[in-house]
Amino acid sequence: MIKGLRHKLSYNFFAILPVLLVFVALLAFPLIYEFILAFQTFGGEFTLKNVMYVIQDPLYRASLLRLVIYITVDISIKFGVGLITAVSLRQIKGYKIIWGLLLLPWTIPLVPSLFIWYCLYHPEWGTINYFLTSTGLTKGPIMFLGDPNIALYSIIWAHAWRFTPLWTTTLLAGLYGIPEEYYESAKVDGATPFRTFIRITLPMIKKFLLMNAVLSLIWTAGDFASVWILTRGGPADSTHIVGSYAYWFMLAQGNFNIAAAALVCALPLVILLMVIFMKIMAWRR
Amino acid sequence: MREIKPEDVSKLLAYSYILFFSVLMLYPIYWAFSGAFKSDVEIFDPTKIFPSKLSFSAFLPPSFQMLYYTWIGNSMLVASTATLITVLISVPAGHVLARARGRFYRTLSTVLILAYLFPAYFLIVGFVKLLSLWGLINTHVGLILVYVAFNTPYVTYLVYSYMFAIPTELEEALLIDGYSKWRILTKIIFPLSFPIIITGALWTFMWSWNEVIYALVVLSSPNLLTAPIGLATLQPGESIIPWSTFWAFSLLYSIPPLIVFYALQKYYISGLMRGAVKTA
Repeated sequence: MIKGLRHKLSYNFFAILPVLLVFVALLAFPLIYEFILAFQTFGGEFTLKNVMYVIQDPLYRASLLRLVIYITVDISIKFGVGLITAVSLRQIKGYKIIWGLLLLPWTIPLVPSLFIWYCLYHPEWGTINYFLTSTGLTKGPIMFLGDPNIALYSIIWAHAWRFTPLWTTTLLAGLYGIPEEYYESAKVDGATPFRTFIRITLPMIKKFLLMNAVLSLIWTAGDFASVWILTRGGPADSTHIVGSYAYWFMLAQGNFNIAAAALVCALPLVILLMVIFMKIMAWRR
Repeated sequence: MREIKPEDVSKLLAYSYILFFSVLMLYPIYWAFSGAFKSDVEIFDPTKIFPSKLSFSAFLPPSFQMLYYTWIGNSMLVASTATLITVLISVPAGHVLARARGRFYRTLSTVLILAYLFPAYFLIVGFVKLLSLWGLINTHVGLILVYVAFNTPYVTYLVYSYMFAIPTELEEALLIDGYSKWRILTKIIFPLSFPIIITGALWTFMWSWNEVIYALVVLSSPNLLTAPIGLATLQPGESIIPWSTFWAFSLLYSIPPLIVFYALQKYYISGLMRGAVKTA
């Protein structure tokens, strides 16, 4: 009996050990280290200067605001377009083949997919500007990535374009969880498709939709690869979000302390989103 | 004459919308990859939708660009090693977390979900500094550690949630028959959780294959670069690298995930419903 228990304990212990090591050495250590760096001078003494610098830097404040814009616009596109696409796909015969094809943007790796939009946006030979100027919609080419007023939105679109198919897939999976009888009885009652959508589809996937939306918010908040590849924060620092700001300090300036402070100061936003996610997860239907 | 019903209108709307959406999703990809076969003059002409003559010269680059094939090899090495390690350590851990009772394991399950939610790039400064302390900057080992770190919570969570679908009676019966726990793990748990292992492996592989931000800091020697950061540093148009070469390389780089994804699509989607969205 005791031998059996010991055996069981040792299995549990050794089976979980590698993952525990990963948690401690590769997730907890970096997090703690980042906090230490944020409150240290280059020489290693305690200081609040990094945090003060970051909070008072207008560029950092703008980056924080842009991060909020970035994630909200991005998620609205992904879930708005995703939901419309999922609902439309469900009405189409042989939708599985089309659905498979529509997943292509997501299977193309990130770097090529961003360069696709770099080219399509190009002011001189990009397809979009060719279309806009030749049809007379705009007088001259639009500087999609060169105009500080619109560069951020051009990046968001390139990012949302790639990830919309993924969330469409997820939403489609959610729609399939709704029992078919609900739709049949709605049909018998003579409900219009729009009413059916508002009264049955939306309430049935509410929790599912919210959970995935928050999930997507969290991950997008941490993802500045699109910014870095397309503009590196330019033109005129107009596309920096928190991550790219920190990355720039780390890579271009070699200043790990300011970079760490920039990330640590934005952590409350991430934690808030994570708390919201856990709360939604605990909901009962 | 049949009267027009609201369903017909919504069907028509659905079909036209999907047509429009398909063009939006697929034309950019077509444009890019047809660029691999176009001449460099045609790439700069938006009206030339089809290459006038199929040219394969971009796939046979001058010797200095052969480095690119090394980069794809590096990506393959890093992504598959990270995937293998992640799966091997996540399956036993997911099994234990789902079966063991007690506060320690319950807390650990919560930590697991939090770790899975946490966005990877928020740790970059601490992680990179730590890697440099350990002397792992500019090594593949360092990058593999990064990829293992950020995929292990997700894969463990997938396995953990999948375990509830496997009845415990089977394991109990085998224990009474004198099987050791480790034997049950290799003979029962690994084979039975095969679908979710494929899902987790697929996810980890895709993530590692795409990753640029960590790779850009960790790796610097030209012969060590992974494919995405190699591509990003080519700076087509601004350097001697022509766009056709860039798209040819991009096409080669996109093929492995495409094959992997479409061959295993079934596992991916069933896993998506079972794992991340299971609680919905």
